[in-house]
Amino acid sequence: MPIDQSISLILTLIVSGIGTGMLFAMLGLAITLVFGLGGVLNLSIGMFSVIAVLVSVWLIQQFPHLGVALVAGVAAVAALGYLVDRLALRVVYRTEGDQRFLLGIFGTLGIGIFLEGIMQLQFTSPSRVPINFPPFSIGGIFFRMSTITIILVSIVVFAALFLFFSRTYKGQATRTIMQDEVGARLCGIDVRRLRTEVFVLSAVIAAIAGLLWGLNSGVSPATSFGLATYGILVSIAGGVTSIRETVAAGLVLGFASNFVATFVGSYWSNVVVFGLVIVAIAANPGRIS
Amino acid sequence: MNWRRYHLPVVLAILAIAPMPLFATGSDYWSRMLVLVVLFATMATAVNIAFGHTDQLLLFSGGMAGLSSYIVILVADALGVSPWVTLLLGAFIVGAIGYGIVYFAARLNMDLIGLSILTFAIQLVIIQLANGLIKVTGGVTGHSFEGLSIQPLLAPLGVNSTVAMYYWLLLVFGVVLVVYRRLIHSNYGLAFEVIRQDDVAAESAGVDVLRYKSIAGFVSLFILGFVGPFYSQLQSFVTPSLFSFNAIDVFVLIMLILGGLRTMYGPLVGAALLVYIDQLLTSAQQYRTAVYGLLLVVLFFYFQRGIVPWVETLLTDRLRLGERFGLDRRSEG
Repeated sequence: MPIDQSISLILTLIVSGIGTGMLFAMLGLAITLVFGLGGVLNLSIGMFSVIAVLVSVWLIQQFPHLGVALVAGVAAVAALGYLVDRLALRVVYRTEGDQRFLLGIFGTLGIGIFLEGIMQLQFTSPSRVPINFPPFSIGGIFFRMSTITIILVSIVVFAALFLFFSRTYKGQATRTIMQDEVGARLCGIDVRRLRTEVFVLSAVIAAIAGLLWGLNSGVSPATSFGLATYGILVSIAGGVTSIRETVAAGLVLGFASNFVATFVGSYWSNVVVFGLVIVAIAANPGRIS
Repeated sequence: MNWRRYHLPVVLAILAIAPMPLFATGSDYWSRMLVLVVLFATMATAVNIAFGHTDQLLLFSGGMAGLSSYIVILVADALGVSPWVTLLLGAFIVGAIGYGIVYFAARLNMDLIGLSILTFAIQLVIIQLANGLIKVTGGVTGHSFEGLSIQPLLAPLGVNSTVAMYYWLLLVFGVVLVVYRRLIHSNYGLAFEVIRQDDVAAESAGVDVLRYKSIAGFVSLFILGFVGPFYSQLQSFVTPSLFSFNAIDVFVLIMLILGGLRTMYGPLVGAALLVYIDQLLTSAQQYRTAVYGLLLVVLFFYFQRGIVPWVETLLTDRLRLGERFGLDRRSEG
């Protein structure tokens, strides 16, 4: 292979690796925030992403305004997140420790499966977010514009989250609860209310991640299990309560996934991603708690 | 009658005799359903040992039952022997994996969430490999499989293959229940109970927590590995999707919770109900997923006790049947 070509291949791979990594990081972050704050591993997260895509695509078919449809998709998922928190997580937060963990995973697993079943009634074939990007090249190297969009949008999302967690009262309160719940309560933080707000925030992050995912691949209700799996594994690999490490884990796994898919074969990429997570859990079991 | 002593033979005898009129009609529909009930009841009993009694949530029941199926079938093919010969090999390998994982996790003080996600990831790898290693496993379309039939032995009696399988699996289920009862009523059961309530306290009281947890892991996975191949036999195919998380783990956990954790007959009651619900839903196939999702939420939120403990309390406390007939509240064990 000529040098030019291999350099361009490597560059393309790096860019798409960052794209996948950013998506993994967003899904993982949606898990980490809720788990860190309340000990609930939200297995319905994949369905939140899927519903954002399905609602947006359906709206575009009704009246062709892309921006409105995308915002409405995210808003619908935010409302759904609020409902799930108020109706279901209310019961979960009444319990403690392992019991809360079990109620959390099976409750949200059930909610996810239920929503998947409801969505299947209406949407059966995979839909994509219908944006046609022109091909894009720098110095003769072609990039997928959709991947560039994914990277740019996720940078904006992460920057906004960074500002939220470092500059705002609510963001700092969230980090306080993640470190020490009793201490946070003593400082007068309304933990329950903040949990609701952060759950809605996580739903919004999942919705944006879903819409970005839908730029490159078709999304159907059945996609939700895979998306939830990525989110959970990324979050666990990153230690499940650390925002920074979750993002790092997402990037590493996203990179690994893309490289393996290109050089070895597409189905091996998931084997390697899941395998790396097993190694991460085994290497540092005490970190997850 | 001393109920506490004879309930197991009575229940098994009922399970053996009651379906005979149904079998006599020769319809495969009912016999298939009953095979599914005993098969899933056995799996749920296996999960009950690890999850119910030692609080170890192992989210790879499906993957391990599938792994055992593949081992049994592929090794039998390679050696040119009957799968009956390799059946125990599959169960032993899967049991050993269960032992190893649980030992490793307990050794490293991994908590509930670490172990559950670790096993979940292992399950995903197994299913992914089964999908991907097409030359070995046949990939998504799978491998046809008919080797575990005992019908040839019973054919002279005029028994069809599904009915033969029912009685064979009922025997397996019976043995599993005997093992379960002996286990729970021995020192092991006592140790499990102490470990489940507080493993640090158990350790300091001199209970070998590592050993008991690993043994629970081995027994649980050995049973799953033993019955897994019969699920393939029933479908006459082994495919990765047959043993996925949604197809086995979710199903078995719903059965166990619905019937009653830590009870002897909870798994049977749960399996019977769920197989029945599944049959009801065949005419409304499009709502199946939604109904299971809702069932899972409602069960975990509002009915974690399960049917068997609920009925027992009803019988003993409300109706005072216990006093009249000498029933004990813990009669299930």
